[in-house]
Amino acid sequence: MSKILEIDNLSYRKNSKTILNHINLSLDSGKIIGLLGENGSGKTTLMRLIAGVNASSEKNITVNGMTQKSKIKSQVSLSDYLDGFAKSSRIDDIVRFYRNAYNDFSDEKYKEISEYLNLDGTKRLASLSTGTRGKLVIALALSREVKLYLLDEPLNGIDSMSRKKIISSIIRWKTEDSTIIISDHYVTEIASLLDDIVIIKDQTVYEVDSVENIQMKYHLGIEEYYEKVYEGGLAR
Amino acid sequence: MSDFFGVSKNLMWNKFKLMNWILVIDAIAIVVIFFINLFKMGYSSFEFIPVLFVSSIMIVNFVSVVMLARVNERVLTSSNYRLIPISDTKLYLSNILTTFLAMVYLWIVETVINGLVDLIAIIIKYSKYKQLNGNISSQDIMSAIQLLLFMALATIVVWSGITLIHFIVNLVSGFLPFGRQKFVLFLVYLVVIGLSLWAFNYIMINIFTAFYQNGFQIDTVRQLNSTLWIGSGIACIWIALFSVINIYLMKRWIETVR
Amino acid sequence: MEYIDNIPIYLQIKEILYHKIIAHEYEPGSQLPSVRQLAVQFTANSNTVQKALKEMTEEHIIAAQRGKGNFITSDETIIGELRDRIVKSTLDETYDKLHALKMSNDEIIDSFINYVKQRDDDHE
Repeated sequence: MSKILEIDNLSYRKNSKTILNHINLSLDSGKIIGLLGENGSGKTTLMRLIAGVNASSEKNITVNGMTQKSKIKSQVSLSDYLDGFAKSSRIDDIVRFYRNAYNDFSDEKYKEISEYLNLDGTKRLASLSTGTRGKLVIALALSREVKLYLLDEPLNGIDSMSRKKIISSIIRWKTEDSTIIISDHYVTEIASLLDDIVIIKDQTVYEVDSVENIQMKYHLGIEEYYEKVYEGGLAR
Repeated sequence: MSDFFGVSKNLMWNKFKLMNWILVIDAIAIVVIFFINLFKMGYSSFEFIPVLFVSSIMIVNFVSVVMLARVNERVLTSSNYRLIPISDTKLYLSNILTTFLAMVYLWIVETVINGLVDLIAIIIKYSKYKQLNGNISSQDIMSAIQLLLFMALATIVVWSGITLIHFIVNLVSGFLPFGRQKFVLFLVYLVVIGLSLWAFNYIMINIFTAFYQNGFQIDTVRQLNSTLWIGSGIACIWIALFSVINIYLMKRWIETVR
Repeated sequence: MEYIDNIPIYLQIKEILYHKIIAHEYEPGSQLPSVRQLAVQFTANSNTVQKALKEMTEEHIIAAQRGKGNFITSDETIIGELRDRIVKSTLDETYDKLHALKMSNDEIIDSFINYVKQRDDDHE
C-alpha cells in the first residue's frame, strides 16, 4: 500500500512553548484515520502544518511523495472554518470563490452534497447556525477532488441530527483512493468509521494502530482505550 | 497560469466590491451635501459642485488607500487564500497587483465623473470654471502622467511597507513568551513602527543629500520632472526590496490567523 | 448504528448480514446492496464493509459476479448450515450459562419448555 503522508521528525514551537515535539508518522492511503487527543494537544496545529498554513520548513512533511508546499496544497483539502470570508458573504459567493481558486473543485460533487445537507446558496454566512455552517465547511472540503482530506473536529459544537448527516456524507462521498483524517477529542460518534487511529499525547504521537488491533489486543473499544491512555491507566 | 488567474479573479472581485461600496457612500454623501447647500443657498449652490467633488475625491482616495491596505494585508494571513495551491510568490504578487488595479479602477471612475461635472459646469455656463480649462500643453500632460506614476508607486510602497511591518510584528511576537497578549503586541508594534520609520527616513535623507551634494537642484519645471523620475525609480527599488522580504517571510514564517 | 465497542466492527456487520440472510430479509440468490450503500446503512467505512464481505465470500455465503456485485448463494444447504451454526452458537452461550448455575440437563430442558410455553401464552 502506498504512503499518503509521511512526517519525519517534525517539531513546532510558538511563543516559546513546545506544541509538537518530534512527530514521526507514516500513513497508508485509502483509509479513514482518527486523529485523537484532548483539546490543546496539537491536533489542529498538526493539520495546519500539513496543509501549509502553519509555518514549517519544507523538509519534514511529505504528502503523496511531494514536499514542496504549493504542491502539497494541491493534494490536501483542509476543512476551513471560513473566517477569512466577510460575514455578509452568501454561500453561493463562497462556492464561486472555491470554483475560481481550485482546479480540483467539483461542481457536481458540491451540488450532490449540498442537496443532501440542505444547504441554501442564498443564505449569508452570518445567518447560519453552527450546525449549518459545519455542514457547509464539510461540503466545501469534500467537494475538492484530492488525495488527502483533513477534517478538523467536524462535529464540534454541532447538534446530533447534523452530526449524523455529516458523518453520513463523509462515508458517501469518500472516494476509494483518497484518505481522510478526522480529528476529534470525543471519539464515540466517529468510532465506527475509523480504520486506524493516531493518538497525540504529550506533544507527540503516542500510538498509531488499527482499530481492530486495539480491540483484539486490549479487548477495549477505542473510546475506552483512548480514555485509558489519557488517564495513564494503561501499561505500554 | 490558470491558478494565478483564478486567485486574481477572487482577489479582484473582493476589492472591486469594496471600491464600489466606497463610491456609493461617497455619491450619497455628495448628494446629501448638495441638497443641504441647495436648501441654504438656493441656485448658487450649483457653483459649488466642482469644489464639492474635488474635496470628496481627496477623502475618497485617502479612505480607499487605507481600506485597501487593510484588505491587502488580511489576504496574506487568511486561510481561505493561503490554502489555495499557488506559490506564496504568486499569491503575494497577485494580491498587490489587484489592490493596485482596484485603485486604478477608482481613479478611472473619478475621471469619468470629473468629466461629467465639467460638462455640467459648462452647460450651466459657470464662467470662472471655464477659465481654468485654458490651453493645456503636451508638457503639462507629461508632467501629470509623471506625477500620477510617482503617486501610484508611492502608494504601493506604503502598502508593501504596511505589510512588512505587520509581518515583522507577527514574526517577533511569535517568538516572545507572551506574544499573544495585547499589551506585549502593542509594545512590539510601537518598537517596530518606530524603528522602521527611522530606518526609512535615514536612508531617504542620505539619498537626497547625496543628490543635493552632487549639485542637483529643484528650481525649474524640468528639474521637478527629473526629480519625479528619480523618485519613481527609488520607489521601484523600495517596492522590490519590500516584496522580496515579504515573500520570504510568507514562505517561512507567516501563518494564517483566520 | 449501535456496535459493541470491543469487537471488530466487520465481525458485527457480518453477523447482522448473516441474520438477515437466514431470516430471508435477503433472499437466497439475490443481490446484496453495494458496498457504499451498506457502508452508509451501517455507518461504517467501506473498507470495513469490504472486509466483512471478504470473509462472507471465503465462507461461501456470498459470491461476487464480475461487474455486477455480490450475490447471496442460492444453495439452501449452505444457508441451512449457516443457520445451524448460528443456532448452535446461541444455544452454546445459554447452555454454558445455565450449566454454570449447576442445573442438570433435564432441568435445563424443562425450564426451556416452560419458557417457550409462557412466551406463547404472553403472545395470545
